[in-house]
Amino acid sequence: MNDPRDPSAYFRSLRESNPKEEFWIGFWPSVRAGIREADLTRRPILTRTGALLLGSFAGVMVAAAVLVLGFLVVPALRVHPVPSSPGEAAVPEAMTRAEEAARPPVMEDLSPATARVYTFHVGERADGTDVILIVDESIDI
Amino acid sequence: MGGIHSSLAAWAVSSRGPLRMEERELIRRAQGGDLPAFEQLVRGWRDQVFRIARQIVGDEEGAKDVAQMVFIRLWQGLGRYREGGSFAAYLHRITVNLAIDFHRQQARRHPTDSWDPVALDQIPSRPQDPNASLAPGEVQRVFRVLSARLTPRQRAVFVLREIEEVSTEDVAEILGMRQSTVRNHVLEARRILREGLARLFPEYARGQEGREK
Repeated sequence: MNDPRDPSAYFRSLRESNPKEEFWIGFWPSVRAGIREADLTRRPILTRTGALLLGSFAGVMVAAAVLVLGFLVVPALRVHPVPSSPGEAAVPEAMTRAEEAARPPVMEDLSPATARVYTFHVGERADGTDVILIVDESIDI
Repeated sequence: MGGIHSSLAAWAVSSRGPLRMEERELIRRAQGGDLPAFEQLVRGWRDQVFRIARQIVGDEEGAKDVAQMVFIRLWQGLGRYREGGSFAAYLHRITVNLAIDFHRQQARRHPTDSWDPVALDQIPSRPQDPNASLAPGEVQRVFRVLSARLTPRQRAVFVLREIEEVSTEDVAEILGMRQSTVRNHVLEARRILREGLARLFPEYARGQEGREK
């Protein structure tokens, strides 16, 4: 402070020059908006918590999918039972000629000759899908 | 750490904000996502963040924008801040880095020499009475003109060490340089500012001399 031209002493008064309270009007809302915007853009698609939850439920979801598939396939098997004797046509009694005609033909080049191919339509007609089932005693499930 | 402690003490006294013990609690709450707690932190620190940014950036609106970015960045990085470290140094580092970036961007857009005649026209009228006190706004404008000759690093060092009175040790930590480098920057900045003051504002220098007698 002895040197009258000491810039450190000269400019130290800037430390005391704070803006008035009015200057800060709208400052915090802007910061808060910026925080929200930044959080949105930086947020990962799958948060850590979400990943843990998804991981813990994955097994349950797979089990549920197997059950649903089972509910769809097992009744169909009951409608179309496997023939009790080789060579017997596995055609349900209730199946009409028209339905039989609409079915895909039984594949002829299967080996062994006792194998049979059954098709089932699962779901609505437009959105459903055909399930093709190959049955033979020699197939080890 | 004396500078940091003194700045924290000044903050606690002047900001109408919470005391330092409460500040720790506010930081913990903010780290847990508590926005009202973070708002109190912002209120406690915004003046100093703004002052540092203003001296580096050179204008108030730009400094306000920088201060806003600083607190957004602080919110995003609070999870990385560990208790026991200097919160002030952590915040100052964000402030200085963003202010220097902002200043460089502005300089690229509007390359001017603040010592040119046009810029000097913006300086307030020189005091007729050398003993008259300068308004804070006038000192601010003088610093803005003179500090244009400092490099961003020199300016940051001068602002932190000589205006905000942060310790040399903390300035070195904030700017990632050795303490000897900080001292060299201070010496060089003081030389440049002293020469500028004598050359461009001799009336101001005499005014200060008169006030000190």
